Amino acid sequence: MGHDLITIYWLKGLEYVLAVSYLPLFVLFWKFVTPTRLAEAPVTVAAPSWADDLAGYFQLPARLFFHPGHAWARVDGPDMVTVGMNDFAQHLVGRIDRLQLPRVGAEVVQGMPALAVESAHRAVDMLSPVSGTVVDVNTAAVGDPATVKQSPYGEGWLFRVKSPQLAANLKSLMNGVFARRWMDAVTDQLAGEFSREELGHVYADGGTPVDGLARSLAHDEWDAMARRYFLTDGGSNA
Amino acid sequence: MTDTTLDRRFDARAWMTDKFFLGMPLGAYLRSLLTPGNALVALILVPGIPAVIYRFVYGIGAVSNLTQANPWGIWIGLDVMSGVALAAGGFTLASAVYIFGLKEYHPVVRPAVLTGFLGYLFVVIGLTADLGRPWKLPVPMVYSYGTGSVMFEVGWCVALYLMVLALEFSPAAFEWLGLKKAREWAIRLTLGLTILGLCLSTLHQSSLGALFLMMPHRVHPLWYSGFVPVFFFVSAIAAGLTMVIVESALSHRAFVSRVDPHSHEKLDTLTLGLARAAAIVLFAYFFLKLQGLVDGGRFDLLNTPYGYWFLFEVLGFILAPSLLFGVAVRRSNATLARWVAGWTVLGIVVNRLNLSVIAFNWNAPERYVPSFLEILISATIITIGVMTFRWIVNRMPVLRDDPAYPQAH
Repeated sequence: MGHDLITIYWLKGLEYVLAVSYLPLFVLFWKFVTPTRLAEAPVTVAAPSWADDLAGYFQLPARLFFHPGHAWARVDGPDMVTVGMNDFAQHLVGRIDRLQLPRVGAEVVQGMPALAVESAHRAVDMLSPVSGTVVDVNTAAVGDPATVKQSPYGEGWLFRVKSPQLAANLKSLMNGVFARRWMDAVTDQLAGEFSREELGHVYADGGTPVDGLARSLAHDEWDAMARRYFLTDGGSNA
Repeated sequence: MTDTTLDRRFDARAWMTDKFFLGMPLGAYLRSLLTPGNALVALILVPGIPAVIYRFVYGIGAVSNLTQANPWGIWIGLDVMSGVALAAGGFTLASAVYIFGLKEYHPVVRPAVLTGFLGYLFVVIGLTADLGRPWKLPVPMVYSYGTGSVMFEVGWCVALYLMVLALEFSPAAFEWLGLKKAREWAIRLTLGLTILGLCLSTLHQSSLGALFLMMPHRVHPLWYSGFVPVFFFVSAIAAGLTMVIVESALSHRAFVSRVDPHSHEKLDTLTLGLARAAAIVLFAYFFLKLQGLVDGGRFDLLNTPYGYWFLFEVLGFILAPSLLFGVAVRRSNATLARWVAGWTVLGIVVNRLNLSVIAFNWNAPERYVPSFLEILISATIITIGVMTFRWIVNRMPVLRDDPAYPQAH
């Protein structure tokens, strides 16, 4: 291509246009690859972190919200939430034989039973962390409940809810440092139960919690113990 | 030797069994090697190693299709150019964690540094296969500098950076050997080494691109640009990030027993964070490539077979993965991010091959096609690299903390 004045001005002009248009496009692209942050949610109390934190042995990802009944909620959109059971819950129950999840279209209410986990022919209810309409159910987890144990915060999610009152619902949930303090209190209570059972070298002494904690501690009454922790026994909070 | 073993008699056999044979008797260890994967490795190495020896005994002309007109083949394009770019994860991740304070990426730094170290080590081996006469390697290092040559800068940079990577990875080796004092000293060097590594990588990643500035007549005008050094550096960052995604995904599948059981959840989060960074870098790289195209002003060549291939590279291997990474991040889909990362790694290799082989000497009457022995020797070098990675990960604390050094990395 010849280097006459018009050609040079045309190419230089194109370079400038490209450089100038890159800047606003970059801003738009930056927003595109930055998912809605939990920090921008009106009720978030702690800045979210990419890093997962551990409250003792049990995983508590910092970006999730936790219900005292050991269900978690992840905000996926302005009114969309994914729900699952937390690491403590799956360790407490141990092997899961069957999951009973609400059907798509069903209404769930925060703090009311919404699902049940079945193990050794006994079912234990769990509470919904949010209110709304179920829009999706993890059929893979229903078909293979072991998924929940392998990945309670990932592939083991349970159902998705369209929650019009999400902001109000999130105010009743815990995340960040509050969730960690709550899990510390729960594990302290669990340690107390270990001590009473005189099991020898256990979690409270620096041992590692076993899978199926409730069965190890309460034997045939394990489901009653699980209900106490999941707040579905109608009695005191655990 | 640790303090606790000082009062005991050193049992060399037990030490060998523990450190080298994964705690198994020699017979059991050898039997454990009889796997389908190792059979495939043997299939490559049994003819490959004699081919390497043959090349050094009879010279490059005996095994390759390289000529005076086409002096660069796949050993340069794949083993060196692509190898250096894909080994960039070491400096990218180490800088992110130790300089920019993104501590949450700590769990992937050590595998990234190991990948970088082995990547560079086998780049040097691949380059030696191309250059020949390995006993001459110290010449530019010791008494005949040749400071006017870009290759001098690249050679020195790569040699120094290889040493930096070895030192950066040394804490893992010291933990494996139980050398606590040496490990403490190595850990103290981390920040200094990271800064040095960032400087050296910036220099030689771009210098590899600068090599092409000396031969504008040999490179196709669509690929040639005054920005090539910048293209090389920016694309190396994308290559490093995506290579860490691919390597960590494969490691978590291949080394299940070596991975912290709680790290799978964390890996998805880290993968999406790396994918976001890769999306942004690729987006910037795409615009730089457009700027290079406009600067060259050869739009007429776009409507030719080389032009279609150029557009496929720019749109298919740069813009598309950038957008798809964005989709993966928005949907929190780590699986999609991993597939896109694999595609991007392929794209970086294609770009380096385009510059050094495919669009190189594009208008010369004589075209280069690699010989079977060139491909075999290249496959042999890459296979030995992968085997070395496996050997180290199976023994040293790379994918999880050593119980004796909690929170070590």
